[in-house]
Amino acid sequence: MKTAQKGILCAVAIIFSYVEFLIPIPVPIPAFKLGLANIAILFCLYKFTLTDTLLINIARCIIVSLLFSGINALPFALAGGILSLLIMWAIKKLGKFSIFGISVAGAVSHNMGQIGIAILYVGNLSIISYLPFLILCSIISGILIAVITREVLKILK
Amino acid sequence: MKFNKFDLIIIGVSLAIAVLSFIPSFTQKNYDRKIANIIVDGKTALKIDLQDSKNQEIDLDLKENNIIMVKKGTIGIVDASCKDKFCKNTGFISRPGQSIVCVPSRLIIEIEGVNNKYDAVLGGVQ
Repeated sequence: MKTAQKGILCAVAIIFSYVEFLIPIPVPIPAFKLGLANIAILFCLYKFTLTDTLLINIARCIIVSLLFSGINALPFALAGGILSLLIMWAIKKLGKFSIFGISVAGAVSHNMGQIGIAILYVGNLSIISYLPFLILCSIISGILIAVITREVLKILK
Repeated sequence: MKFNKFDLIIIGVSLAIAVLSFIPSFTQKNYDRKIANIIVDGKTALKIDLQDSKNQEIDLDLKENNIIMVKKGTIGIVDASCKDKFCKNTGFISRPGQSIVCVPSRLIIEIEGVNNKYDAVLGGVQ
């Protein structure tokens, strides 16, 4: 993978993260996001290697937290981002699952990673009660992201 | 690239995790008294008996300046200095098992159910 391609994909992921800050989602769950940046990450995972995708994802997390969400959000973004990428990669490696299963697993594990860090940070388990709602929403957003990424992959063959 | 039956397994497992993490909220029984535990940094900073306490505002000087309010046997956060107001949007809570979280302030308010026989141990407002 060329450095320029990495740069472009990273820029796309950052723009998607920024767009998410601008659109309020009509879901009564605070802290829920669509995960648009996962389009770029999923695309990269299909077209290139795990190492490339990991680099792009980590760079995206750092830049987005410096630009928009604040440096305090970095551990949460990294935990969710890295866990979901590794899960998506492992499930893709199994070969049985389509882009839908991979995307949903990524979205769900992203939330679990973030809730995990939040439990460590606050030192109390009761945050787990947010997980059911987050998982239900991320199943839907995961399917949506899979549809978009599938179409992008078709066009950019 | 088509949706297949293996993808259903992933959705099924996700739903199972969702249901499992929902169980603690269901297992709450009826209690005689409800105590609100205000936990900061993993340590209990304040216990408030929701039945007995009068309406009051509590300012614990937290990182996000969360203003906690006790009102008619319920407890909630009415303001915070952060952008997303996650804690404020949770609203007022009163049932055992419910909680309000503010991650930046490392704050949790959770409602604990207590039966009267333990009254001597827990007391009222501490």
